[in-house]
Amino acid sequence: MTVRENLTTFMGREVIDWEEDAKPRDPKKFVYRFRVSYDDGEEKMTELLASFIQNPAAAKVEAMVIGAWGEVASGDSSQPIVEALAAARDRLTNLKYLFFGDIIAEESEISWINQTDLSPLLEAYPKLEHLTIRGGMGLSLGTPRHEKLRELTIQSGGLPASVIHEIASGELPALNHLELWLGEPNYGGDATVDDLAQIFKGDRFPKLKYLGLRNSEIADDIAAAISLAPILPRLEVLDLSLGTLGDEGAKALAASAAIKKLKLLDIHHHFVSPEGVKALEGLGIEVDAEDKQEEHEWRGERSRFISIAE
Amino acid sequence: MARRAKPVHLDCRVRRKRETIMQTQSAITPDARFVVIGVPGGKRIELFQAALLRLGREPARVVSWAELSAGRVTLEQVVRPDDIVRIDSPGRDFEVDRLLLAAGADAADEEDGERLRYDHLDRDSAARVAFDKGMILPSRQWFLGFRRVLGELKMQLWRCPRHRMMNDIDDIITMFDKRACHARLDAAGVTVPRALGPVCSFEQLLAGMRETGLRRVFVKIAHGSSASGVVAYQISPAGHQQAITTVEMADSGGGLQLYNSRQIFTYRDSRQIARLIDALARHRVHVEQWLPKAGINGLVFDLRVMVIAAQARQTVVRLSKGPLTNLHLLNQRSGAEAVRLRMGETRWAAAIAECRRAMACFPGSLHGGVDLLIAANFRQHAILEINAFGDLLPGVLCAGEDAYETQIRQMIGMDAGLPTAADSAEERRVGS
Repeated sequence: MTVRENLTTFMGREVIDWEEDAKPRDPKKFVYRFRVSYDDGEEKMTELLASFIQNPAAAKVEAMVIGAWGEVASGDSSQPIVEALAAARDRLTNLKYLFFGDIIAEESEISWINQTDLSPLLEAYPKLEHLTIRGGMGLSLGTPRHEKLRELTIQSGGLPASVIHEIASGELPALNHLELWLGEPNYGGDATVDDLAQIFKGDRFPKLKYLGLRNSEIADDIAAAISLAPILPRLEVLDLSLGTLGDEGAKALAASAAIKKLKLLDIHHHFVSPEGVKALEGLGIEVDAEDKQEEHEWRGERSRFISIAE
Repeated sequence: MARRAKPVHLDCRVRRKRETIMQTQSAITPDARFVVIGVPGGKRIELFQAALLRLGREPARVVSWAELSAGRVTLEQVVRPDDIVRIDSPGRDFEVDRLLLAAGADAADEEDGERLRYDHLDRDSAARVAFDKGMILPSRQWFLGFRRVLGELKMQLWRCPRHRMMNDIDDIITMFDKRACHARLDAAGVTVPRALGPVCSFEQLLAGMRETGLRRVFVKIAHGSSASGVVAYQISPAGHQQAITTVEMADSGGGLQLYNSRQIFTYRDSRQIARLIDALARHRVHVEQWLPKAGINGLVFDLRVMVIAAQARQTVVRLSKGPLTNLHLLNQRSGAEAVRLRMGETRWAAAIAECRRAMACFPGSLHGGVDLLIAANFRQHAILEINAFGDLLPGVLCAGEDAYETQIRQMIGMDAGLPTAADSAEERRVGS
């Protein structure tokens, strides 16, 4: 599931690219994406942002999309963008929904996107309810404290364990949706199931209804651990999709008593046998088990691949 | 943000009526006969003949590449006064490949001794080379043979009665050299991806990338057709490397052999990539910046635009899951209307105009298949290649006709001012 296309909609609004001399359009219908060309530098991106931020219409904007901020494939970091956005806190006074890194594989492979410490954004925007980040390399959230943040998604080909610990030790009382694409170790996804223990306890996020631990090489371990975890009975949706879930994990899930409280178990892109899928479907909850994968065999070794790594 | 324009819907009835008029006209136009140099029995000839038939013309006389390359036939024996001569692809005929390789075996190579000795077979080995599906033959040698035979045809044509060429022979030769073609377009100010200088090894590739600051490049066999021998190579800031290609490496008794496959391979190991690039470089490669292509409907795309008689006509969007977009890789094709809408009229018109400017670099030629890149931001564009034989686009229509019909009409002076790609997006003939 390589990301090949930029967002066309975000938070129910049509996404259009902001251009310096554009006349702002209805913020209820349109979301501006800020992006520069492959031959522009990061300075161009901050200029572009500035041209919007200075516009009085900026105060009305609730949603923004940050696209390619420079030569992203060459390692241009998101840091100047974070600084520019954080500095605009007095202008973007209604910002609630932010997609940070709408970058497609043709612009940069997901695990080559050079992210940075995004905690200044959480500090600068107390009304923020939704934050999606693409790219895990270099990423940090500091110790996130935020009263309003309801949805946090990090799409990556490799999410550092340090980021998981940051989230788990943060204070996000409103968090309803936590979606982490864990990725694989070659691309910085070094988390083990132990790194998730804090999240599994369930006391950090009292309002959590959706937990996505997606695109993971340790999907079986995660399934085994979460099937006994205190957080499970409180969830409505458990999303283990895009990863390497196999029969081992499916068995653990099927044997869990708490899992029957879910509204949806999403495991699409998986390696579970038809029998295993049947067992899950027998739980009486909705199960998305589309996109069954086959193990690759090479020189006698069998291996499973997550959906997005590079 | 460009304003969205309403899509242009051609009225089918009007189109059909125009066609009828055309056919009536064709019946009263003096018959110029077509001679096609090609591969008898192939799809290209079949479709060209079908186009002639639809226009009420007599079938073209076909001269086989094999016969000509072997010297068993000369064009003086074939071309008659006022004929129109079309040179089509010699591809998909292994006997021709063998003959062209043999013809290239002792052809002078202006690059010899300068940098790198390209892969080479002597005349006897070339004549005996066995068919091995997908095997990449020594393509520099093939090109030298192709150029030599075309040079011979040029001499023959010079001795023929007065006739007209659809495409100029020297133009065809340049289009078959990706480096030369890129240089010509670049010199004319056409927007093309930035190119690296000659690259003869992986080491030189890395040096060139360091020098230019490029981290993503396409390495293409300079004389390859379609996606033959194309690698999308990138190095990440963290030092990861990735080479995406359809080229498969196989170790045989005689060393490393490269094969074109329908599969996509991703090499990540530096030594593997070095072997691949080194082996490709022995075929002579063109290296250029890998510009980010736009995505639509969840897929990456570029466009093939047929420019015929200075107008953009049949246009097809080549959709792909990865950076290699090519019809021969069985990628999906679709119409250009959605792309046009996303770009807006002004930018679409600019991209189409670029295709025409590119083709204008080959004033001696009626037509070329221009590969057009639309950047990820749907604002910028670049010309990737011009394909001399890029017109095999079955079912891709413009104003109701395929590329062959448009070409024929133009050659026999039947231009009725039909809409071009700038006016209407490509259509497809249903069921074909």
